[in-house]
Amino acid sequence: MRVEPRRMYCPNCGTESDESAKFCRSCGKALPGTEEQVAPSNVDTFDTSRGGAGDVPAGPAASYGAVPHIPNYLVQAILVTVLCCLPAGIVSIVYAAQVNGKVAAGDIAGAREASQKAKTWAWLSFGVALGLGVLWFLLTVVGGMGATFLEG
Amino acid sequence: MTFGAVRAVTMPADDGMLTFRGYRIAPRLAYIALAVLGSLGVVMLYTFDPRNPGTYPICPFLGITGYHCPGCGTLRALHQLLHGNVIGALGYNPLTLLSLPFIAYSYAAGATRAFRVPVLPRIFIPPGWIWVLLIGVIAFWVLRNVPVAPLTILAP
Repeated sequence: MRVEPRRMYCPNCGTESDESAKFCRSCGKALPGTEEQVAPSNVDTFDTSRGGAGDVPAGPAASYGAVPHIPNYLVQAILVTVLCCLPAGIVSIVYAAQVNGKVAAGDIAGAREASQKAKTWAWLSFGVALGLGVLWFLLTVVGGMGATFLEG
Repeated sequence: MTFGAVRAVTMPADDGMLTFRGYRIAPRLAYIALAVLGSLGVVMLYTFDPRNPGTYPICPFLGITGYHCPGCGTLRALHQLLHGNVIGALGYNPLTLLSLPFIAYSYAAGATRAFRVPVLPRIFIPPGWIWVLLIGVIAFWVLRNVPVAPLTILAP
């Protein structure tokens, strides 16, 4: 699936906008004209054709072209996997892989969708872990103090 | 787990944008808050040994199923690392130790970007690498629960 001609993506954050929009509805940056649908070369993008560091200036000559940066939440996915001990972190890693896969394939809309899911699953895992942590604190620390108080 | 919980609260997206119900929270504040909470976590992990039961919450997966998860041993590994014992840290959780450089780099790249000193470039990780990571994490999860001699070193 390629970028649809009537849609436009913010070169700063990758948010999809209407082609008549002047400013990005997510980050507020001025959007380029409709003739520059993906991204001009002077903005922050990845050159996916290199498959490596994103510090090279992205140019239109690249085989995939320059694409907007779409967060894959891989750091969050790894953090919840090693710290929250929940299988939901694994799901987040799956979506992180999908984000970069779709970015490399030029499917920006699909990458944004996977990005949203990666974010949701990372937060879900974190939320459940936080809830269990609070429960643990109430049962162990507060409960322990209560027991000591009652015994005393 | 407490350490990870407070870290993740303000974990911004790696594009430096942190939103809550459509409102953007200044990325700089988020990175400062992360540094403060991370430092508190480091002090806490250095001081209190997770090997003493009851210091930190037990892993919910281990508590419910009795099996180790890929994250089990993370706090003990970090405690050992903070006390300079790299080999001991690897023994508790090699996955955590191997992911630390990536986590540190992502934080540094995001923070320098948020403070408009983009000295560190973002890295586009080829999707194949992330799939390999996924397979590695699942394999690690399964193998560290196998109670056979060579594999038992993977258990925390």
